[in-house]
Amino acid sequence: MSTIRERRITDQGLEIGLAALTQDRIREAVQAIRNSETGAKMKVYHETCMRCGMCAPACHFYVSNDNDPSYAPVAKVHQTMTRILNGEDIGPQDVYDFAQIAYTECNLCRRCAFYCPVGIDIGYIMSTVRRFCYKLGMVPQYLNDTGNSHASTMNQMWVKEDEWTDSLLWQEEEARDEFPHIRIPLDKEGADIFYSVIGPEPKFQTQLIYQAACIMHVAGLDWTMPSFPGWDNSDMSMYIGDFETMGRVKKAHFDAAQKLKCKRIVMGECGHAFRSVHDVGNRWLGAKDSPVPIVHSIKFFADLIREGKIKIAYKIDDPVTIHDPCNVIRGRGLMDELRYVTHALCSNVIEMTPNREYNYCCCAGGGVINCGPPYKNSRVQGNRVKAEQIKRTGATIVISPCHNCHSGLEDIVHGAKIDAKISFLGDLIYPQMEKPAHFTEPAPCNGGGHV
Amino acid sequence: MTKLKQWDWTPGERTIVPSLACPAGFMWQEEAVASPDGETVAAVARREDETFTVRVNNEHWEGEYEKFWHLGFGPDNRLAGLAQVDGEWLLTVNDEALGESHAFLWTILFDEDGTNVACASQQDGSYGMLTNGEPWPELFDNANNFALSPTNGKTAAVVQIKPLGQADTETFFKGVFSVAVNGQVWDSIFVNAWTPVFSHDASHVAVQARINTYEYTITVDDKPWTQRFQYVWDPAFDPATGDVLAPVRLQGKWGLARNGSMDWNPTLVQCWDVKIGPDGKNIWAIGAPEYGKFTAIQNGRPWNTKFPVAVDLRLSPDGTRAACLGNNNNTDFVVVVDDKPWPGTWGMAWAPVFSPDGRHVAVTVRKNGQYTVLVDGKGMNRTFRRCWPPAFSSDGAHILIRALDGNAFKRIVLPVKQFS
Ligand code: SF4
Ligand code: SF4
Ligand code: SF4
Repeated sequence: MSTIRERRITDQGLEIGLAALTQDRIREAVQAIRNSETGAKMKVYHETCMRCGMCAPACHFYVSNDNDPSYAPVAKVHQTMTRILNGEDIGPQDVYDFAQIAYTECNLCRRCAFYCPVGIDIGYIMSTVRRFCYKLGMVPQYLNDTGNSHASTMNQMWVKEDEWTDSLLWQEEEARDEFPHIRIPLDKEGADIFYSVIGPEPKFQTQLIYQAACIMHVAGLDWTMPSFPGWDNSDMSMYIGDFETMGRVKKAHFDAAQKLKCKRIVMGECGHAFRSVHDVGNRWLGAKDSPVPIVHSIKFFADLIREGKIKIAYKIDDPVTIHDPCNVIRGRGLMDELRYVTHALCSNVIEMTPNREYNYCCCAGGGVINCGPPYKNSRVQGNRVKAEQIKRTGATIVISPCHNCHSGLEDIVHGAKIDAKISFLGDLIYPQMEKPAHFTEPAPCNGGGHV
Repeated sequence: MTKLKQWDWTPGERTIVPSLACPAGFMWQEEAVASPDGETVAAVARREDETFTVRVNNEHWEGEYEKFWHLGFGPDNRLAGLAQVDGEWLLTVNDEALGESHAFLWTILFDEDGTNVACASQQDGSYGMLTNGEPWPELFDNANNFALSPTNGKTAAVVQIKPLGQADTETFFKGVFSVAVNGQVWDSIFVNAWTPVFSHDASHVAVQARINTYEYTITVDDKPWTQRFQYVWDPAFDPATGDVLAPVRLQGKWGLARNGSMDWNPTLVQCWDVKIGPDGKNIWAIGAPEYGKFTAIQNGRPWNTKFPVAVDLRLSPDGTRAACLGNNNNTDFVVVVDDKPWPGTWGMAWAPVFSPDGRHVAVTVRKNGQYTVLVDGKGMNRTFRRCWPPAFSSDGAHILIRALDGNAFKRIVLPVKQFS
């Protein structure tokens, strides 16, 4: 069994936080956890846990690290929250350990909660450990940087306001070569759909915005994107434990949709953002549900195909497998919809085992991939089980409707030398959908237009 | 205030444009925008030669542009937009460029009566604002949260005053942001700052400030309140006293602070969107007295009617009355005025509009894709393809409805008593 000290990773953010830590600050943070409402929940969990270890094989970190007991979910709690609740002496180096465990060795994927006989949510406990670490300034550097971006720009990637709109105008112009009448309608008041994406899309993956615009266009939808902040639905502040910034970013997102009087928010293929908008960020603001209904693109695409709004021209025959993102599958039950869309697009779908709500996490989620390069090896090593799952299917395409899963799976597929491409649903729908001639050929508007 | 008196308030219906459909020579046009006085309707249109122009009533602008966006009318009925020519952007007002071109322009802001117009700008990778075409003397590494004063043409934004490398969290937490007013930077340096707000006479600016990683406060004219909070939302100026009020969070609950001291005790689950009447006697906000139950709050007392969501709080001109929209997570919108819900629910509703004398309230609503206007809770027995927010005459006796009836843009003036 290894110990967290033995596998310590040097992280500039944690080192800087460590240098400023005092025993008084730690004591204060311990008291805050023990006396807060969350503290009561933590105590119940603490007293209910039977130390039975049934959660251990649920965790990809434990399984992928040769069943090293220190990676078992209950062991992660034992090394962190239990010590906070027991009021043990906790020193600065211990907080470093807590931060490494909570931010980089747990994806908050909640698979373990499915295996715990008494339903203990270790993902939630680890989130609380993260809040504790955040209060002590102990956050991995790269993850902190995304939170700072959220706080400063209301998006995750330091995308400046002109860059955002410029990207949309550019994508619309590009798409007009293919669809002469296409628009990315900006700030269209009263549109049915407010389409939101995550920060990396305009920065690195603009083709996803292009694809979404083409799909909306062919489906004949009434949609819009805001030209102002609130366009990013993502939320690394939630994972940092900086709930104040999380609330501010979520408010900007909901406010933008409400300002434009849109009926619903359709969001791109992301897992963690979905957790933030329908589960965590909204509730932090005081709302029981999402102030504006949120539709994840899995459900959105399924409806478009089911209702015939887009038609799939052909299926691909390559062997395809499905990665079920925790936040939309375990978190929201969209597994059947995901399969409906996948089977509409692919003739040769090979399921991973286990799958659906029992699927192993990609090991990138929960902000872990955003902790950056220092943790890449531990992340890839912590997900050997997923690499093996993919390999067993023999698939050459892994469908994964979640940005973080996408990046995490890229890393493990590459690390394990598996010849498989990771694909969003949109990556397949866009080329495979029918594009009737009246969409692709220029024509005068003969009395039409958007009045 | 818009010059309501000078508008044509003769009751009746006029067709301003018989058909807004896209005419020959054009490939398509975007959604129409209507002037506040209802005399003009405009839309960005793409010609068959693949350039863009703006159609205004039945004419179109001389200008031919590579791209065009952000078309909208100011309160004085001037038509503004952002046009790209030779890869550079121009702020155009009534088909004339205002100032020089820039690498990018966005966020057009008009002041209360439309006298001044401002927008955000980027030139050579540096950021600032233009007022009436005049750029700030100094530009910054970044700027956002742009504001224009209600009068006097002053501008403000949150600006980044020091460079910040990738993942340089150490520098970030020492502070790289400040506030620039007319391009002049405050001495204060913040971890973050948001939503600069001007006093009505434009002589003061208040801003939300994150002063260290965990503490927030309000800073007024470069001077932070001495009190620190767990969280703050947008501040507002008391027009009567010049005091600054802002929702603040203490010990996990929200209240309202005035110049840093508590005015409403922190008892609320949520509190935002503070609005203050002209004599300062009535302070309003949207808040949640209980988890998941939102409503309007007057001087610390929540209304009895509560909803999962409440939005678009508006006050009567004297601040004694208020209206907002309650809804069930964006469905079943209800108009609530003075704590009384109007009959009926709507698929979508727009912000309530009070008459200048404060006696009447009008709201644009939509159901099953059809728009109509309600006045004092009563509908007009007619629906439209689209309606813009209504306006009242200065004596409150008439209401102006700007609507799309099929493809025709119409200007309709009705006596308010018709709704009683
Ligand atoms: S990574 Fe998932 S399974 Fe492992 S401890 Fe965290 S929540 Fe549980
Ligand atoms: S399965 Fe549940 S009860 Fe058993 S050790 Fe894990 S958390 Fe504790
Ligand atoms: S990135 Fe995807 S699989 Fe990983 S935790 Fe998030 S949703 Fe789950």
